[in-house]
Amino acid sequence: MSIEKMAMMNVVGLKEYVEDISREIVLMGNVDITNALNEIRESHFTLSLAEENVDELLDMTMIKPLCENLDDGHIFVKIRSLEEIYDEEFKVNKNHISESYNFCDCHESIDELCNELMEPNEKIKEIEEEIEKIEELYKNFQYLKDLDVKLENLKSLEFFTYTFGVLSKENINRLKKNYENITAVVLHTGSSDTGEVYLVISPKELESETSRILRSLNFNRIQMPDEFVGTPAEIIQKLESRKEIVKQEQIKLQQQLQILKNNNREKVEECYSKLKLHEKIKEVEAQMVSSNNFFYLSGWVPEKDKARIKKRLQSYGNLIVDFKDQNDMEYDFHPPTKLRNNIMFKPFEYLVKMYGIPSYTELDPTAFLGITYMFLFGAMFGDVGQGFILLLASILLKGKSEVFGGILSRLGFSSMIFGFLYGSVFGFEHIIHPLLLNPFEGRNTVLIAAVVIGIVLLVISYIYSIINLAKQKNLKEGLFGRNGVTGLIFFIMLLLIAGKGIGIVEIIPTSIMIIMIIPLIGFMILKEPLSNLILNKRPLHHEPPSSYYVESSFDFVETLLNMLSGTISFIRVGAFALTHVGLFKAFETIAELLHNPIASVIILAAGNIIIIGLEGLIVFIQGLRLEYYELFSKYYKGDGVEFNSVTLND
Amino acid sequence: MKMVGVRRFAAVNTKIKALKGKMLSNQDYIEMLSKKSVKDVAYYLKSNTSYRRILDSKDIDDIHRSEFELILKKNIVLQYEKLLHYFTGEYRKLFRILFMRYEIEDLKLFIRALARGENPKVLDDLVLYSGIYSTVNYKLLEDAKDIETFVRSLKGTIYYNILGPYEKEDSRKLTFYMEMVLDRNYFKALYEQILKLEKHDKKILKELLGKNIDLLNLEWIYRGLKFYRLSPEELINYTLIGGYYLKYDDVKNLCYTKDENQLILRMINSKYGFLFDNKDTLDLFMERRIERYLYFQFLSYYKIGKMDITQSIAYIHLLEYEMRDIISITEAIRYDLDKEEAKKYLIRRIEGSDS
Repeated sequence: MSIEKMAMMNVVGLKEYVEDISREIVLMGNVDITNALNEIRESHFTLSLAEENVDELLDMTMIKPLCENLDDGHIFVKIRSLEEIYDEEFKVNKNHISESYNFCDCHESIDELCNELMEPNEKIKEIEEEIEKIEELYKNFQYLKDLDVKLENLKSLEFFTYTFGVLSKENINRLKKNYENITAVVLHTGSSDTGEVYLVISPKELESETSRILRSLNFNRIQMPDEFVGTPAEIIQKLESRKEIVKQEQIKLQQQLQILKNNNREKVEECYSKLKLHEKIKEVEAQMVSSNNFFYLSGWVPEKDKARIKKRLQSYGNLIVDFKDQNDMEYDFHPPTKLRNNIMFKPFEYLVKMYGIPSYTELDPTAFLGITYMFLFGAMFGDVGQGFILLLASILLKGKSEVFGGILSRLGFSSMIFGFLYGSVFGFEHIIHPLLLNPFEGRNTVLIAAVVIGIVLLVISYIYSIINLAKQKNLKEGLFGRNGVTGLIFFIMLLLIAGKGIGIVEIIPTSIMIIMIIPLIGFMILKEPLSNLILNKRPLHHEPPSSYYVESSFDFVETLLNMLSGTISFIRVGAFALTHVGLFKAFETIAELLHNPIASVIILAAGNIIIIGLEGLIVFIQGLRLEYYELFSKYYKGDGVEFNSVTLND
Repeated sequence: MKMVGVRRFAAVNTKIKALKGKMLSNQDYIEMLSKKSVKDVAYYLKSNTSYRRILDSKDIDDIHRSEFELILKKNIVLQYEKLLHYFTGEYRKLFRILFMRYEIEDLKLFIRALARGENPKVLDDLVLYSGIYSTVNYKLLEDAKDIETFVRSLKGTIYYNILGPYEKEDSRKLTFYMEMVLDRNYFKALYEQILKLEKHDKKILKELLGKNIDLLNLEWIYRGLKFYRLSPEELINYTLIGGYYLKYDDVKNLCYTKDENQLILRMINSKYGFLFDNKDTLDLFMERRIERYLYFQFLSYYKIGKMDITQSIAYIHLLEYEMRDIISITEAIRYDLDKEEAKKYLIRRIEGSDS
């Protein structure tokens, strides 16, 4: 529901502890490391001038980036090949890395593991290749299996040569059209996937002519290894039995490898975890700087974790851990944003982030967006049955896309609630009684209600905006801006006038309202000079007054149009609620006209699928449009930076 | 004029009208013919014609003839890619196949280099077409050590089935056969694709391609008889299918003629007699005669083409002939031919040049 409070942490310690500290930071997983060199340059890295800090302070005059570039690329290659053998992606197991260890030992054990596992793996690959080869030969002999001649007899022909090969359809035609001039006997023996297989026998004397003709026909020779004897059918049998033997061997080897894999599982996981941690530690260290004796580190931490972090870090020798909050840094305080929402609204953070991360000084809009988005979607797509389908779909999605599944389940739920309110189940409106009203019967009510709801949402947006602007101490926009107090009052006035125009109520007499509106318009146009007067800043205008007034007058006209169109825009909520009913009515009519119960059921089912798929998507987008365009544009900037801590889990 | 034609060709024909307007005029060729160096030709094109667009970013002060040629060829590929966007379905496939020709030209470069025992990496600057529509992996081809690895690196492309039989062969004439088979498959693919087009377009293209095939077959048989001394069976097997005037039986009869003189005797009074009617320059200008014949064919087709495929096909061929003529001019400069002599090598007829 809110944005986590942040503090800047600066740590100075003896260089010998650098590994340990980095490891702790990775394991804690709640520090967003910043580049220490930059922080020192911008003088955010300040230590209190106390006796005990003297050494550290002195050393700070000769800092340089801390980085020893160890080349451990090859070790990652090895881990990758292990992953390939295991045929899975390894996961970090924290049990292996909670204690301090020497990373160099890790190299050795990875080497060992690789050697042990690589060999059987290579063997299996060889066997696979052999099987492939046998299958290739098997295929080739299949083409000839009807040929009842022993191959050695063909080979021992004294005056004739023979060859097997494949011809494409086009080239067969060429051959056929010119049979009378061919110097060989051509026998069809079978079909392959690229063409027809032929046995070509020609006199040895004409061998070269024949082979030239065959080449001109793009004859693809099938290679027949010399070691095969017997008829093709016999050879096929031999190949089959050979394949059987090789396959047995393959299975045996695979089992062996599996045992090896299982035995080493623990070790591999340990190495992987250590390696991953090592990688992250390097990431942290890349952002640090060091002097002769000390290292310097800075990063953002959540305010609430301050004490815990300090305690854990200080177990490593005599460290200086210093925290700074807003009061210490004032103007340069730009912490990253960490959103904190309860489980109900968590998925909606995704939709907020799609627009932008809230800055540290903004209100987190997630809860408001979550509630209103569910409301708008449900109102436009209210149906117990179809909502339930969305809910089911979200459960199916859960494994694949956590966020989207989460959003969908909430929307489906909201759709079901509105389904009860509207009394609609899979489009049918006579199964349950509407708790509120039937949208189609209360058309005008629905449309008017939509606009009224829009007005309420807009007013809340104004309030959000005013709070945001107040937090940012932006007097100009907060007090006189179009989204500030003036804007809000002006908006209400406009609504009251419009309300009277269509004869609803008259709370304040028109004349008084017009008298009130005129100064409001003045405030909006004069917002810059007015705020500068109050704050006692000079000059009053930051640009030539003439262009300022032209610009702000147009700005006012735009504001006016925007307010009107923005309000009317919400009518779509009602319109889509009606469309939803209307679309189904269309399918229902088609089904009735068919006079065939099976066809009717099919049409109604198809109608529901189309409505869920197509209209569901449209409503999803339209709801988002209202959130982003009408509401966010009033109060939300989203120009923050996301809190990104170094952790093992990514 | 049918609606479908308008939908399919209105946009591309408008584009082609604009492109055609930018092609070189006869005056441009006359100017180029009087230049003294490749640099001057390039400079003329850069400052006076639409080639400014492609030459602007190039340093032409000491441009080499082969670099210049490659720039021109790459320009054609670029034009193809642009036109390709205007087509969908079977028509797009047709243009993809027309594209294949450039890919095949590249494959031939590789094959020749490998046959000479060179490392294909040296071709890096010569490879013409490795654009987004190519089907072969040029990186892999460059790593090939010999014909065998080259053929294997084509696995998964349409070329693998075509060149597969040559993977393990060892023959001095290998390159010749491989090139023949590639060309033959290009024309086959083109012919088969044309059969899939709309009736009207199919008719036009069958005629255009058929005439092209007739001429290529005649050239092949003539040279086969005169220079290569191939057996009639081989001759016929390498001819192309889909001729317009010369059907299979005609071609077969020609293949079984005794020698080239017999062939000339048979053809001299036919539609294609122009190939053989000047004994002295027969061999020298045979290819140019074919191209000139097709050039005028395309020119007249371009004029009668309405809302159909004609203009697109005619334009890309005219563009190609334009490129070839520019290249011929640079070659003429290189071999120091005088202007009148050089004209004879151009595809188009300039100031009544003829022979």
